[in-house]
Amino acid sequence: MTKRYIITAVFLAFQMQVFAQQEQADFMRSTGKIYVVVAVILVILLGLFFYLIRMDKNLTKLENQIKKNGRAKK
Amino acid sequence: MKHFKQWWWKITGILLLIYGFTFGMLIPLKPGIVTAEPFTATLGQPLQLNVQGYNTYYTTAADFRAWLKLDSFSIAASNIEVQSDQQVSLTFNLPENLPSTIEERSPNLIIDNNVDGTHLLPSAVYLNDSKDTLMAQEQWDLNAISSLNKKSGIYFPYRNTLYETIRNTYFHVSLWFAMMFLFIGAFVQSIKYLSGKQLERDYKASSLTSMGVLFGILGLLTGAVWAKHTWGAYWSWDIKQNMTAISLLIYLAYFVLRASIPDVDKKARLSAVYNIFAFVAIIPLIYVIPRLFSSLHPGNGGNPAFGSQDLDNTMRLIFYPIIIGWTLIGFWIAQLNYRMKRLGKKLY
Repeated sequence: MTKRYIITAVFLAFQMQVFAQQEQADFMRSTGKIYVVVAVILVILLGLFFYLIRMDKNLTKLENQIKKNGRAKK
Repeated sequence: MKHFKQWWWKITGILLLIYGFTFGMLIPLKPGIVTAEPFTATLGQPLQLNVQGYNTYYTTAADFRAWLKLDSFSIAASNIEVQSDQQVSLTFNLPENLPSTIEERSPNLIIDNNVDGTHLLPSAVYLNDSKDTLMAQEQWDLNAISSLNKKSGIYFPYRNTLYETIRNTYFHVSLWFAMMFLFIGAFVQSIKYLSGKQLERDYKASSLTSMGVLFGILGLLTGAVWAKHTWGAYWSWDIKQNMTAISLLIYLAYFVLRASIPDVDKKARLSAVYNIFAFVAIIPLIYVIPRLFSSLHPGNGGNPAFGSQDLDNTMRLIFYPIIIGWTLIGFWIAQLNYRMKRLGKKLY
C-alpha cells in the first residue's frame, strides 16, 4: 500500500517537473531568486517531518510490543 | 525551577531558530546593480549604459553620480537619466585610449547617491580598441572618486548571481555545523561506551548519529537546490559534494552494521568502534581534501571559508544563532529518540 503511494508521488512529481520546467526556471529566478530560499526551507521541513514520522512508527511498534507482552518484566 | 534544568536549552534552541528564520528572511539586501547594457563599448565613442538596479530607489535619490573605474583612473558620467527606481541611463564620453598599459579592459561601474549609497558592478563593460594604442592618461581622471555616500541601516550583502539566495547561508551551512556537533557527541558517547560498557551510551551514540545523518542529508539536498540555481545543476560532481556524499555513506553504513548484528552487546561494541573510525575518517573528507582542489563551493581552492567575502558582520548575527539553534534542536530530537530506546529496554 505504502509502496503504491510512493510510486504515484514520484511519478506525479516527475510529471509536474517536466510540465513546469520551462516556466519554473523563470519563476525560481524571479524576484531575486527568493523562491530558491523558500524551496530550501521546504526541503528542511519535509526532512524533519519525515524523521518525526519514522520516530512515531518506532514508538508505535514499541507500544504494540508492550501491549502484547504485558507490563514490564521485573 | 525544577523543570529549568530540563527545559532551558530546548527553549533556547526554539527561540534561536525563530529569531534566525525571522530576521534571516526579513532583513533586505543592500542595493546593487543587476546588469548594465551594452556589454561592450568602443573607446572614443559616447556610451549609453542602461543600468538595472536591485533594491534601489533612484527616483527619490539626490546627489546622483556614476563612474567607470579602471585601476585608479575613472571617468564620470556626463549625463544621468533616471527612468524608474530600478532603472537609470548613464552616458559616458569614452576617451580614445586606455589610461595605462595595464591589460585590464573591463572597468567597474560605480553608482553613488544619497539614498542607496555606493553600489557597483564589477567588470561592467568590455572596452574595444580605438585606432591607435597611445596612452591617454590626461583624458582619464586620477583618483577622482571621493566623498561617497554610505547606506545606513541593517542589510545583507548584495552579490550578483546569488541575490536573495545569500540567505541560504543560514539554512544550508548551519545544518552542516549542527551535523558536526551531533557527530562529535556520538563520537564522545562511543568512547564512553567502550570504557564503561553501559548500554545507554550506545543508545545515545546511535540516536545522535541518526540525527546527524538527517542533518547531513538535508544539507546535501538543500545544497543541491541552491546549486541548481547558482551553479546551474543539482549535482556538478564537485569535490565538496562528492566528499560530503562519501562521508554520509560512511555514516549510513553504521546503521547497516547495527542492523546486521543481532547480539546486543556485540552490536554496541562493534558500532562504537565503527563510529570512532567514521568520525576520524570524515574530518579529512569534509575539511581537508576539498580545500586542496579547486571547487565551485566557497572555502575551497585555498581561500578561507568564512572570510569577509562570504560572511559579513550582519550575517554573523543571524548565522551563529541559527547554528546553535539547530544544534540544540538536534540534540533534543536525538534525546527523545534515546529516551524511547531506553524505555523500550526497561519495559521488556
